[in-house]
Amino acid sequence: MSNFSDIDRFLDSMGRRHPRTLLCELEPDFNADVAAKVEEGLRAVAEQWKHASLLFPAVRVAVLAESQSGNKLENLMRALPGDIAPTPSPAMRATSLAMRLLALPIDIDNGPILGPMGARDIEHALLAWVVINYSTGVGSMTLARAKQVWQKAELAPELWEERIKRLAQEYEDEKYGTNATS
Amino acid sequence: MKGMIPMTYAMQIIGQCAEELTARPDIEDILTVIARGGDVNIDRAFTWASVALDQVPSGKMPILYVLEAVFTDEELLGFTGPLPEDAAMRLIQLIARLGTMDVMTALRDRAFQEELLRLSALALGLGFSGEREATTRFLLTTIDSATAALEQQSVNYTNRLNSAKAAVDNKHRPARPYGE
Repeated sequence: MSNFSDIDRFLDSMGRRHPRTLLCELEPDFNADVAAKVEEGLRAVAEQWKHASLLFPAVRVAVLAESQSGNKLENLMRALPGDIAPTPSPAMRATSLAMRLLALPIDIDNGPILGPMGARDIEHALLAWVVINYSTGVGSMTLARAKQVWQKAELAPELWEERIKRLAQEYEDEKYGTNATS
Repeated sequence: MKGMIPMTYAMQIIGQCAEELTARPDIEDILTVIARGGDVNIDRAFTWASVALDQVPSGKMPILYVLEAVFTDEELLGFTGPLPEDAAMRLIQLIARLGTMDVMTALRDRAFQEELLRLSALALGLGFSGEREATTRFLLTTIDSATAALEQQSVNYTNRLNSAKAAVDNKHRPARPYGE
């Protein structure tokens, strides 16, 4: 059972709805035509960085973060003053966050890490990245837990060296019974 | 045909913009070039840019400025048609992903300019005219160096993991006496 039941409940409630639908649910005034174009933009970014499989998880996590972090995310996402540009709406902030997640330099579609990962684990990892980078907890995903989740997910190539060592050790233990002392 | 960038003209414009850029642009300069981008809702275009601007380190702002200047060029807009209102945000993502570099020098490198154009075209959903289609498609899918680097890292990962397992097997292989 997941350690993030509150987060899982929220993600489950989104069902398999499309990004444009989720954005319009997050902000009922968000124009449906704009939402459709936004989804097109998100898809373009996802395909550009070979992250097509992350499109839905990224939007779901961004919507979750935007709706569950209260006004913390609003305060943390630096926007231009109101006399220069209107304040970004919740759907715009969620879109920006989703786009940022889709452009992360992490493993690509069908890569060695993302390929075998479950959808929920990917969502937890992306949410962990948001929590770490915006220093704001989301539900039960506190900063400390987020660091653990991100480290464990090993999505970033800089964590792959440790992963190789661990997997080689596990391989040795399993094949040659070298973990008898543990 | 709308949605197509004439490559020769775009290269000429990006070269010109990069050459003319002598001082680092600030946010106002960037908003000024976004504002000339055609008939999109300018308030919303500013807001989209606004919410993503903090993802661009100040050192990379000149890249955003040059790209905005190229894609809001009046003549180029005649070929591409109006840009999406979230165009700046899409461009910001690719800029944020570029590695560290001496931006002002890199911007004057023709190969870098071409890669920027191709990455931007992908992000904005535009194609190129003036090139053979097969070549364009090939270049669009292969020239993205950031993704190519990740693909290489994926391959390296698999190779290194296999080598590590082979090393484990080797360690446990019974030693054979000399002469066998």
